[in-house]
Amino acid sequence: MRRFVIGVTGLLLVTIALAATAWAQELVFWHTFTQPERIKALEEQARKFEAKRPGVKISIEVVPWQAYPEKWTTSFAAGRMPDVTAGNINFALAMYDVGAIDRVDDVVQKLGGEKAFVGKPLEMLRYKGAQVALPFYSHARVLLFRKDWLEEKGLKPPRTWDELMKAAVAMTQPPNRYGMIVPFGKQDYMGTLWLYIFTRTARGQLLDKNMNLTFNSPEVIRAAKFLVELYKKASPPGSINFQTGDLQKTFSAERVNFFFETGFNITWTVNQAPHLAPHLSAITAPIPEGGQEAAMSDYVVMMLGKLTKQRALATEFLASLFEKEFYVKFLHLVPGGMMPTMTEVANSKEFWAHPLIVRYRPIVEAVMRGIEIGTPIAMENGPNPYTHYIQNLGIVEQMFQDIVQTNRPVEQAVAETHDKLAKIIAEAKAKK
Amino acid sequence: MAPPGGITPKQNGLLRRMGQYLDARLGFLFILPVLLVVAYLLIYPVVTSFYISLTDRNLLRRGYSFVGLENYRQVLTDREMWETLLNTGAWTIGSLTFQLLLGLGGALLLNRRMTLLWLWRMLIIVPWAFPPIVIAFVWRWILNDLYGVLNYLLMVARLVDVPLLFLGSRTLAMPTAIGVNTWFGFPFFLLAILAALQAIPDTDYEAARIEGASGWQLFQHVIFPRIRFTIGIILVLRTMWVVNSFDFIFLLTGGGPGTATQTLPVFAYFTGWRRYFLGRASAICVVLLGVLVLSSWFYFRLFQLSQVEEE
Amino acid sequence: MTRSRRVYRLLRMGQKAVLNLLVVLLAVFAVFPLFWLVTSSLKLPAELYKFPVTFIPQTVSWKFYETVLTLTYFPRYFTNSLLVALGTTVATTAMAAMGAYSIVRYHHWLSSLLARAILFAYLFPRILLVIPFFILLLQIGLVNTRTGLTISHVVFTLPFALWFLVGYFKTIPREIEDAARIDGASNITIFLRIVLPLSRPGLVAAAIFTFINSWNEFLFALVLTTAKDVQTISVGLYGLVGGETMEWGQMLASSTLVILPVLFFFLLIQRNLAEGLTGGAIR
Repeated sequence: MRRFVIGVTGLLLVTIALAATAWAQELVFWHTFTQPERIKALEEQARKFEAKRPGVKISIEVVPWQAYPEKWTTSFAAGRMPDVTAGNINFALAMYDVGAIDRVDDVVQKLGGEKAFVGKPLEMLRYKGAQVALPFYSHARVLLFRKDWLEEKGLKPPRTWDELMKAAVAMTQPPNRYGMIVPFGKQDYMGTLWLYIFTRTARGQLLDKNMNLTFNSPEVIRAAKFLVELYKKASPPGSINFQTGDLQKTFSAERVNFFFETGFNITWTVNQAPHLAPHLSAITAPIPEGGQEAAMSDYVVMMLGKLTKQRALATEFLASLFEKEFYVKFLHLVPGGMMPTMTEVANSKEFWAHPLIVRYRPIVEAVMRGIEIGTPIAMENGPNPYTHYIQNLGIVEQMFQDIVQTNRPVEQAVAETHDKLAKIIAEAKAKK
Repeated sequence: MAPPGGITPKQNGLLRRMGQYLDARLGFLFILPVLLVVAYLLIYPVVTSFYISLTDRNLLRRGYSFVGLENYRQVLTDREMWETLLNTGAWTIGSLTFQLLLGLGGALLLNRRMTLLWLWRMLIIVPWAFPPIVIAFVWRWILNDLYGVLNYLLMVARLVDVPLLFLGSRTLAMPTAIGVNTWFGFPFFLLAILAALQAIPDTDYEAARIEGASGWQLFQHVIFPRIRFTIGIILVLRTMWVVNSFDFIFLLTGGGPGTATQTLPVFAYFTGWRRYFLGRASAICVVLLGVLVLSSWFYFRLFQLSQVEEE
Repeated sequence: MTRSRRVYRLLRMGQKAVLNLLVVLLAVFAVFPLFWLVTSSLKLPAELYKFPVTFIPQTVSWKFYETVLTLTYFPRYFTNSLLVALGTTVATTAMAAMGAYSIVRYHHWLSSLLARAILFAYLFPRILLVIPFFILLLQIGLVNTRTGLTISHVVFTLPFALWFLVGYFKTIPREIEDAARIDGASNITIFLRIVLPLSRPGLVAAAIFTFINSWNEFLFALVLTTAKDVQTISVGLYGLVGGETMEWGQMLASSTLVILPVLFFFLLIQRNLAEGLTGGAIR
């Protein structure tokens, strides 16, 4: 009898527990968008998703980019990844490499197969035969500038390194005006980014086909020398500490002309510095003698946590973020900044009809060209999980800071940095 | 509210006896939560961290193995580690010296009959209300070379011709960081020393004055002995805070330019969170702990704090 | 005679003026960043980045405040910070008061040992404590909750509050308690009715330290919380300055909103604070 009572009670408890979990299914969704408009849009989409599925709750957690490395590693170490998460390509590859996220080939099929996506971003996210993540939007860095300042000096938008140097120097009147921002701040990876763009246009690479570091190469040295000269002759000295946010700030303060940014700058200039809006324009990166057209592009992606217990539901939610109506509305929140990765939207009149996209056609075209020809940092020979070591440790930035403040020869600094990075990547490879 | 003790005789016997039983053990019951928290804070994380420092634990892997003192060997043979130690020393000594001098000077200035004393005191503790993240960004805003107000003022006063790179130059970054930290930390010294000064009875001053003591002698023989303990304790507390403060430097300069302002916690952060070497980062923190234990031992000797503590 | 007295008085006045000027300079140094923060937050974006700078906004604009209060989660972050800081303050102060009293009256031998242990706890770099804490909170299911964050804040604020109150309780004469005991008061009555009221300034000072430390805390809040329903204002501010755009105006406006209540709070209790410091361990 007693055993019976215990058994029944136990069964009851298990049933209640099961019922409770079935009734309240919670999905954790991380995203990296800190601007109010994009937060609101994702929230609304989540509420809509919940409304169709009683008992489902989507917990949205905003993880700003700069907190992303800490966040995902801690969660991974503790064995609790989110069910669905945004990120960018270099995080996605690193996360897949250590087993923090799950492949999403089935979601691609669910959304209409490979043809539903724009080719290149989807391909770049295929690693070791698996679709690591879904490309959510793409962007590329283009050389932004003010038309009026160029016209003042009777100059054309620079197509070559020499023209860029001349134009930047011509515009520099310290301490009021500078020709170009060359940012070396250690808090993010702008120095690496600038170096990457210039190295690529000089036909150089950072990782070769076998994923070996080729940092100590003539092309990298050439690009580094050019950047150091540009910094000394035409950049605000304080840019030694600049990070992403400082670029637009300095530009809208009317202190500087050239800098590399994404199409995000359109919205930002229109809202925060409307007096500059009529003068804003952009081109792809200038090319040195004997160089090639090149760019740095990036993909913001959506991933599925590996340890998620509710994969089916997570997949449904992930797919809901690519529903056309929401998707277009979301991309239009930063017109020209977020380029579609879905074929249907990329070919739709609706997307291209946004007034700001129409108005800033030259910038948007430069961005599209950048996406077409460009690659994410150190992925010129295909996707690999090591790029975050190159771009997130501040090592390249430190190298530049050392060069410009201690007059260390560029060759020596590049060689030392090569050894440092090579050691780190070798250690990372050996840890497998 | 009826206390569970014995003064409400109308309660029934059992409850009352229980109350008395507990009341008699109040000393133990009261210390229990503290002991639990100290165990939670001290023993568990600290032991874990020591242990991790002896392994090759990496944030990106689940398994790890015991490597003995390998992490310590790596850390102590790294040139960057020694530069970082030097920076930490400069940062700590510089910050504390200026905080103390400004705090002491300010306290002596305010320890007079002054109109609106409360107002001055109020204004001076303003920096205290600033969270580290706001400190870093407000000062970066003020010190900016393109539209920072400080450079503007210096240029208007014709002290400089071109804006200074307060946070961007190898030579200026550390002094600037120390300056900002002084701004943040001096009010704490000031308030505490002021409180100690105001506790000195007027008769002590009068006695000294009758003996014809000069200003310096007054300070040396009447004032300093009364504030020695305060200064010592605050130095100990602030040393720990300054050495350990991570967000402050990280948000202000990121340790740069180069490694000019990189202190031990920032170095540990980069090693552990950006390069994922948790074991090595733990070893750096243990070294840091050693430095702190040594320096607080030094303070205890210098200010004879343990004697006062025993009083 | 009168002349030399006049000279002397002039000298005294001059000395006083110089000293007062120094006080004013010190106050300006302390307050200027606040002034600059507030005045910048009231500018329009174009004026914000102007050089030469303007000290008073040409047109006072509440645009940034409007954005912060209506379009961001600032109000929620603010509430979270308040809840966590108040919870921490109450829990820490209560535990510290009990513990300190117990040490002073019952376990005197413990006090020097505990003082060392606490100092040691205070020494340990917080960066390293984050992971063990994260795992611990995960085990008890409190990651990403206000309770979990509050617990972590209690853990690192308790040592200081305890140590501070030990010093304070030592100054309360034992005789008063003994007299009450002879009258038949129980231990708990003595603690609640005599010791606590007598040490009010010390308790207030300890509570303020705790509140400020919890309110300002950044690293634990960053790692232990991710949901906006739980995150505190420091982490919320961090979100504003990173990413693709640096929202300086919003950053300045929300910083002002974070700092003003704390300042107001200071104004209310600043007498108490001074008294607390005088009576406590920091004598």
